[in-house]
Amino acid sequence: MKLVSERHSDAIVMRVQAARIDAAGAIPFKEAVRAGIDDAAARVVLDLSSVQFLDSSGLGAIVTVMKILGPERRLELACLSPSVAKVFRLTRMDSIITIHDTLPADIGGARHAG
Amino acid sequence: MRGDGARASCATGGKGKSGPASAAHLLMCHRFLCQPLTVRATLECLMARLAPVILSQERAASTELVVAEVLNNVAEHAYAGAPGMVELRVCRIPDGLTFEVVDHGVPMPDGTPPLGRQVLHDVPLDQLPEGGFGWFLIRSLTRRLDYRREPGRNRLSFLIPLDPGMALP
Repeated sequence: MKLVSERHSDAIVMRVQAARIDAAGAIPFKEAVRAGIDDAAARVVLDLSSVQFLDSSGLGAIVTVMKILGPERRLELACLSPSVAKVFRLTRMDSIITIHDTLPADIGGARHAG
Repeated sequence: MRGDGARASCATGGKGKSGPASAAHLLMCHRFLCQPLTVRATLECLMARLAPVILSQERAASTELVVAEVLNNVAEHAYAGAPGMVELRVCRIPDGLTFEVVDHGVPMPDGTPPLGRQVLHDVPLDQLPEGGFGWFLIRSLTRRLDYRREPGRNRLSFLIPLDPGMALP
């Protein structure tokens, strides 16, 4: 699964380039995120604007990513489609993970794609 | 991405088994080897078939999610990751869509579908569950869920209401 990462001074924004995070895509998703994380970023923001479908396997993969990041680094989600947002709302995972309607404006520093 | 086999057997048909109601109109009867990629192809086929029937984008998304969860459970639990044959039948009835999923895998534990759990709040990060959301979603988004263990096979059926009076979250 392809992710496009953008490095900021305090954060990495990762844009998921897939329409689905489902049972067939959950493991490639976890591997791609793991490969894109570096230790310097205090925040990892996943831009899910391309993702139109996420099932419980995808939800589990997001939880796995939170655990990989550990307590000292924060995972945030942005730009969820209505159907993806609904999965987080129904399972109340939206109370555990920060979800932004748009990419957060407070991400600072120089941008360069990686 | 779409399996030719899944596509080819997409047409309606199938033997006239005992349906939930005589007023049922068969929309789809699809047999396939249940694995994550064939589930994906089946969902694509299903959503194309349901596009003229489900007019609400939100209800269409819920339907795709529920069927994905049910089929993924069959692949992961009933067949434990080995390819096994599944039959999916979808009928239009006056108050919604009925779904019937038959597989020949192992029975559900305790002979009943899991209750499904809501995520525990205020637990440490490392104790957050990474699975188990599926049955909670299925139970939240369906009505008349019924599971039967028949000789050598599982039969799960449920309704997704299209009648606005039968509210779902």
